[in-house]
Amino acid sequence: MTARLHVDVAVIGAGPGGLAAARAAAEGGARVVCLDLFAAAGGQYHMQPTQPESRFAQTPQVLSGRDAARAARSAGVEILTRTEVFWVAGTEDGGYCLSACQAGAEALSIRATTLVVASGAMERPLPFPGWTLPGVIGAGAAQRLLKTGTGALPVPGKAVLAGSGPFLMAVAQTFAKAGQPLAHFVEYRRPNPRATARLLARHLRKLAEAFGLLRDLRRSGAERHFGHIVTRALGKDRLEAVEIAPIDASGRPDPARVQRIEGVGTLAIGYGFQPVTDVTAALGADHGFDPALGGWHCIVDPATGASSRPGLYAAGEVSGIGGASPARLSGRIAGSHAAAAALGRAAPDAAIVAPLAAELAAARGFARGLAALYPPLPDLPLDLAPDEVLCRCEDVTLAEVRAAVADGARETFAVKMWTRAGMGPCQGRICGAAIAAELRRAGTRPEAAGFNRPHLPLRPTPLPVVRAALAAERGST
Amino acid sequence: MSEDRTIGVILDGVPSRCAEGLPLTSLLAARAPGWRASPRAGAPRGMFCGMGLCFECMVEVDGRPARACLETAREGMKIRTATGPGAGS
Repeated sequence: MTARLHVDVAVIGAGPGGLAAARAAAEGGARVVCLDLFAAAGGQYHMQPTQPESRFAQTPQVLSGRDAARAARSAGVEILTRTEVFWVAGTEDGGYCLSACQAGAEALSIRATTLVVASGAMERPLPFPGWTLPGVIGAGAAQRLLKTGTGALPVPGKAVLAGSGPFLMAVAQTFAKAGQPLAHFVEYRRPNPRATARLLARHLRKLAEAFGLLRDLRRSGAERHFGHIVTRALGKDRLEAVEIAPIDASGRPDPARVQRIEGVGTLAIGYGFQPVTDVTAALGADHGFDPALGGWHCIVDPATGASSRPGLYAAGEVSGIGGASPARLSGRIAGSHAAAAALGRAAPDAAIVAPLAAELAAARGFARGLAALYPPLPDLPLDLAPDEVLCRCEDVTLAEVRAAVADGARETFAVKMWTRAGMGPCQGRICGAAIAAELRRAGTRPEAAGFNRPHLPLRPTPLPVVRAALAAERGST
Repeated sequence: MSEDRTIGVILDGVPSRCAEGLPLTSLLAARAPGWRASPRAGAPRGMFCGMGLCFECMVEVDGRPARACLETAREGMKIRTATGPGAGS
């Protein structure tokens, strides 16, 4: 039996942006449901520990996440966890119909008058030699293991944290708080103290946070390698060693100064974030490309959170990478506008929303400043072997992608048709950045290369669940 | 430490004990960081993104396909991996 819900506003994602949007919509008088894939509300930012004795049980991020979920619930929001939206479509009356899978097994069909997408961000995975070896994980994955697991990394051996961007420091801080030894910290960029000081002088509220990150990076005990890159992960059936090299003046690693780190069990690697745009793209909203915002993102009016499609709002990272505070602010704005639109009321009081928009602009300004301090790498300055895998789901190699491009593939979609890269369970989320980088090498700009077009189901879903949810939708029209 | 908060699961046919609610990725990676083989090359794979998007950590939980990074250990849970002992049986 398929569960059915009828609401004024549906919110996809229960991270900082989604919870703020859901609460604001409910406070605006709307009936609201908020859906999240994970077992606990909070998203990646507020991720909740599973173990009562966790050192993270009382951290501000965990407590504020619990408070945000509680506040949303007391405002009347129904939060459904372990609920993954696998399709969204517009309805004849101008509303939206969502098809979801609950706990991996049950179909759920939701009718909503307006929709707020707060689907968040994912790490931008950039391939490097050896990146598919077990033990090589995302920086966010390491953080999740430490915060939600036992507090220790499960794989014995040294831990190496590498990549680029401010998030790496946050992960090093997690290592320090967990008491998990971190052997090496490898950051591609060299921090510019003067530019950092200028940015912090404009955003004094961030000063304590910045000092805390620096202090905890030292406290982690890691040997720090700024201006270095991981050039290779080595091992037979699992990660055993990592090679790093300093970056020379041309931005490439110096092959004469490669250093090998032996006895490595975990390499956590992160080169920044990209918006998760499958839902907004499936609905045909306008998207733009901006490297400082993580690449492809849903375009919204910052004053309302409205996308180019009537009744569709987007909040937080999906509208451009910026972190938790822009997410919360844009969530409140989008949620209150989505509620007013759903209930046929006038736009929310400008006296309330205008200060939020001003705060949002400041928070976005800080995010822009950080992106300028750590410009996202479009690609890694490494030479991959022709047999290196780019598409992990379908085992598609660099040589196969290059052959497709040489044959005339000029967009992501063409590479997919030629090679199956992006056709597997991840639907191109993981290989997308690498394919775009290859197309760029061949002279196609990312704007022209496009992204993997979403289709039904957005996420792998058991067929009986797909059938049941779609049948319920047809029955309700 | 005083009370036993561990629960019993069956991991690839072998009864094992772990903390209740522990993410399956922690449980599996403690055995070995890889528990899948890639589809064409048969190369070893394990958890990668850790947040439900890459599907590299797929396992079978109580007979259903599941992402290990989204699952937490429950009493009596049967977990089967693609490359564990007894795989393919």
